[in-house]
Amino acid sequence: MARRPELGRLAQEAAALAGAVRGALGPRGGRALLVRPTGQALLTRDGRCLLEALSLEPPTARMMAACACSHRAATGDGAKTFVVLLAGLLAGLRAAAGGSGLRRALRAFEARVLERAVAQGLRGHLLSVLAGRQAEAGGLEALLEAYLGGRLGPGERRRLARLCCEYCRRCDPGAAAAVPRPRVLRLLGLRFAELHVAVAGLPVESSRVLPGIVLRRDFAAYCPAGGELRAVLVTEPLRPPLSAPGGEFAVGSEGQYGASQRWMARRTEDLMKRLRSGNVKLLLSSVKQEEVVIYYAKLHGVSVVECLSSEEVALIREITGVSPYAPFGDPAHGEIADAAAATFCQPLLLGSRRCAHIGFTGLRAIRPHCLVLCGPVDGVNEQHAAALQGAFTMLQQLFKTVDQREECKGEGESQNEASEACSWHPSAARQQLVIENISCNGDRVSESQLKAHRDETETQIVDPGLQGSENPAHVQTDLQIPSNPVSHVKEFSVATEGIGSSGDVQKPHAKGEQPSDVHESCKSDSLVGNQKNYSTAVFAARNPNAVTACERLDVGKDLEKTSCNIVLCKHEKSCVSIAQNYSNSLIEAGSVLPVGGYFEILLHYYIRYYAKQFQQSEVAVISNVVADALLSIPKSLYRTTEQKSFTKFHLKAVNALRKNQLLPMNEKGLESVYCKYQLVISVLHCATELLSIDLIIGIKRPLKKIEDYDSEDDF
Amino acid sequence: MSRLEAKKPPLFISEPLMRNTVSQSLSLLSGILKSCYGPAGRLKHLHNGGGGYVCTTSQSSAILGHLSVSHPVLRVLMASVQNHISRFSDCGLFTAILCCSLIENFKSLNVASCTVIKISKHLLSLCMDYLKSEACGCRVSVDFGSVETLLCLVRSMLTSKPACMLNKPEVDHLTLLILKAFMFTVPCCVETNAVLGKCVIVPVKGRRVVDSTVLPGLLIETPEIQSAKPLTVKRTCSNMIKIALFSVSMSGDLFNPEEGTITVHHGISLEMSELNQLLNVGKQLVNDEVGLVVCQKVIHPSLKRYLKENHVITVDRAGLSLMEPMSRMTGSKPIASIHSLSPSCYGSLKDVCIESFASKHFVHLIPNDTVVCSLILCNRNETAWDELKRICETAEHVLQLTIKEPLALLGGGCTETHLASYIRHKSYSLSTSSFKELDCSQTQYQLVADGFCRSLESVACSLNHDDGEILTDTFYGHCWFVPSGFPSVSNWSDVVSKCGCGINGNTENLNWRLLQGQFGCPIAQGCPKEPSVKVADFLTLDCFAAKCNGLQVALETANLILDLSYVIEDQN
Repeated sequence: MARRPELGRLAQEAAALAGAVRGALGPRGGRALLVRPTGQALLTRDGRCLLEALSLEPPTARMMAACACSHRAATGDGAKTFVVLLAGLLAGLRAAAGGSGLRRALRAFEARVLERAVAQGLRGHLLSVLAGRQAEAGGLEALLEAYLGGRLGPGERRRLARLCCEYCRRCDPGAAAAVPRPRVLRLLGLRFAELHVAVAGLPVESSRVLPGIVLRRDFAAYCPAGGELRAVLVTEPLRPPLSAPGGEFAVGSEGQYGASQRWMARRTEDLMKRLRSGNVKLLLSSVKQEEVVIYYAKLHGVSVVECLSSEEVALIREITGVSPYAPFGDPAHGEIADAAAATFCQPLLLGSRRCAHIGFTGLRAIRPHCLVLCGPVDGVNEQHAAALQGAFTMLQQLFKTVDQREECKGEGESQNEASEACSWHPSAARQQLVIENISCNGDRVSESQLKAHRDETETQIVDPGLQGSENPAHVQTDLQIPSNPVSHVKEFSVATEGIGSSGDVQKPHAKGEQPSDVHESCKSDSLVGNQKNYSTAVFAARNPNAVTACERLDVGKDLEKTSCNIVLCKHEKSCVSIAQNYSNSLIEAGSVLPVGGYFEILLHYYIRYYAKQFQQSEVAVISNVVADALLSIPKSLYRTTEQKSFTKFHLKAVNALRKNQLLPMNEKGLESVYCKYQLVISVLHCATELLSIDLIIGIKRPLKKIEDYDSEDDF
Repeated sequence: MSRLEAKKPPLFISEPLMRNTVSQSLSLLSGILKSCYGPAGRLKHLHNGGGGYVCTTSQSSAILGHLSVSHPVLRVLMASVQNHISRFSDCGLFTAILCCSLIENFKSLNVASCTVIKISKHLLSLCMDYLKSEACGCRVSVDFGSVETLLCLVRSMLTSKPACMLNKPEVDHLTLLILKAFMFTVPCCVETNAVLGKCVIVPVKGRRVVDSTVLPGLLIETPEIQSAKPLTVKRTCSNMIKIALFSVSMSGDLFNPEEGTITVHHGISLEMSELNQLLNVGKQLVNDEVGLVVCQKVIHPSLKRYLKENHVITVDRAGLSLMEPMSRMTGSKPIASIHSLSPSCYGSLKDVCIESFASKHFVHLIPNDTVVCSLILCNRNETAWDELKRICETAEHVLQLTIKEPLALLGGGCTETHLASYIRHKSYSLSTSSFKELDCSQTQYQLVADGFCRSLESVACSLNHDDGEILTDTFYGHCWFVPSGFPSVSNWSDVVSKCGCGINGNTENLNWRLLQGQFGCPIAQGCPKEPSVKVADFLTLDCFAAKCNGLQVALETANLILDLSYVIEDQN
């Protein structure tokens, strides 16, 4: 059993971690060669892999690394930056040597300074890749190049960024903006392992995009076929078994045995004939078929690919919409209805391996393409694939917004404290999570994401409480709304009520704001970040813009949409006036800033600016600490040799800000502001959590996990 | 597990290239590989100290495959070269030596590694653009209408591997054989998607190299058939031999892959039923006028006898590796069921005869359309044969690559020195905007370009294993070797006769300079010229595709290694 961890020790641990990852940070960083116990070498610059490879001993350091990794899993970026910022923050806190009030001040800082700085300062500088000039003019390439700059070598990033752009464009030619639609991005991110093939021994230059998909195995039988063809997916052996598992086949005579053997052969042949007459020229099988099946397939001009992995089967089903064909299931022996259309199927020689290359036309939104990644060694290809997969996650974050949260003016310190008590109620937070999950969307939200966002949702609970106590009249109005989304929330409030926090804290969460109120809150200074609100029904009910966003992004469940729409009609009149004002969320979807420290310098400047009001309070101290910690990120990016150029750049930027001029732009790359903002929030929460630890208890047995988190986050 | 060991913390090495251990292992590896390079390369004797197999070689594929290195950084290098070899077979030593010297040269520069990487990437793109352009002075186009250039290409490969122990007539004989074998595999009638055939190498050890020969079609080793008896084969009306190819076992054994059970009543023999079915198949084969039955697996003796009585030749235990070329050659489809025979499965052959080499007997299947051939490769002993086999496979692969892209590069170090002088020329005439784009100064660019050129030249230098001088001329940029024993004289034209690749003779005053140890390299160098005469006998040529890929892979691997800032080694 150890005493409460000292701030100094925490700062030391964080600094050591930061020192370990700093060499790989940013566009000038190098890569690490990780050698596994098996001798297998892995090249990486990924913060998560680095932190994992360190196999940390101290529990608090392990917690820091776990926080960084869960942030990385949720946003696809920023594990190394997380550690650097955390180290800066903890070092600053130690230097400030504040008392036990630090933790409280951190929360107050977030609510009262950070969000104000973002809303009133930073927001004016943001660019967008979803609308305006950046949308056409290579916005995607700029984003990708900056992202890959942090995880690939200097010689490869441009080539890979171009390749990834081409890939996105060809997979989603219908995308309105430069960035593919979220559902395409989600599929690409989820199935990237099956959508790319790696070839070692060739230069990176040889990487290319191919139409269709490539299955990493040769044809069991290949019959050249030109023109359009149909493909059938099977998941069971096509030769009828003589005796089923568990069954028994009694042989009465030699003739009977021979006849049944002949019958089985004929049955297989008939099936192939039937497939061929239905213009099915390709058989995709998830199981190994018997040689007889392959033989008859060859005789009748049907190509066969067998032993598909379950992921490959899932991918094929997703892009073509077919379900497996059961040959002996249909008694009619009629035509094959569920066949996928393909334009070609041919063998493809990749390196020294023969693969099956199939040109599915793709029924759904995505037009399937395959990325062939080449590199001198496998480790490079793995690094490239991981980076591209991360890029798809990162791009998905572009469509998320951080919204303003209403808070009333003149709220005092006492309220803040009450909120703290509430937000640290773990079960309350969990309840909120469940609801988010239900009302969120049909898409899969990995649990890791939920875990990472837990802290945000916690704060969200606090908010309505304050709201409720101030405006009881509004609570009344929303109770009258008889729509579905509200019922979710009611359930939630019932569930949490029993826990002990006062009932009226949760209730007003179901609210249909009156326009004047929202209007007012937009003017008001206090803002609270509530990410993902576009998908929560409650918010949708209040805000028509959020509903349209929801539709545009294709993530809402149909049911949910309709229910939202009902509410929408009701409030149509009252909402008109809000529309313009409220569309300015804290951070809009598609917001980006140039890379190279712009975000940090801007935020640093505005935090300092807004912290001036809190003279000599702890909030002011924290503000200065956070602001300075933010600058440690660009400082690390510029490295020691170029420290001077950073100081110059910083001075220039600050001068421009003071004079209200445009910032000097000399970087082409862009980065998502949403990810950056989430990073700051996550670091603040991690620091708060670290500071809240009272006692470290060593136990003998491994900890049992209460919840089944995504294995990716396990440490 | 009887004993649990405590988990060791991982080994964390930052800036691995700055460590002495890496530099030492790198220079050791580089030394080993350099000494193997070229026709005068020294042989390496690989053994494990415990007896058994011994390998004498100077080939990169054999050496890298057997060498075990401890340092992970070197493992990356070796894996990269081995991957290159598995794709292109050739130019493995070139890639490895170039990669090592690029790392050594770039590391010694006092320039940030990310700047080095950017600049070297730019240099590589200059090289590749030049090599792919028509104006390239170090490549020759390969004319498949005449054999001259092809013979040069194959001969250069054979002579560059001294471990084969070949004398000049043997080299000439094998060069012809390899080319002939390759020509057999090119299909006669070209469709849109022509696929090259296959050359199967048949080992015959303990014979002279000149006994090697190439035959169209396939050889199947059959110990039972006596060479004394001439074969009488049943032929169809069009004087062809019908062949049936079985991939299913014809042994009559029962096998039941299913999970359920089969109950057999007393007195019933399933084996008997299977055999009857086999004999039915035999009857059908005889009725269909099949002259030859080849089975991948085993044929039941009764069936064999039955077929023999009906003058059908049977060959069983052919093995999986021969199935695909046999199916391709005869046009037959391997039959996987003994329950239904489709006449469309049969293929045809021109002739079948018996061949004997040394003490082995083979059935020789002679096809109508020769896309498959057999190279009977002889050499005196096992190690020399292995070396020869590897080089034959490499040569076949190189010819396949060349038919796709009919180009070859000048060998004998001339491509390297020519490229180096081209890059030196280019790097002085680069516009300032390119420096800005690369985010570097002109000095930095010059430094990296110089390091790049020196690495290329050091590959050419490693062709020389004696203490003679190596020169380059400023006109063509080719490489010239001075035989050892000549003192450093001012007039080099007295001692050199031909350049490394053999394309340029000592006819003009070409203004030679020493290749090694020059620090004050010539300031303004003209663009190297293309040789005036392009066709010449006995040129030394290299595979274009393999060398281009080797150049790219070497540079990318060097960049990769230079970019490493940590090595984290899990020691558990």
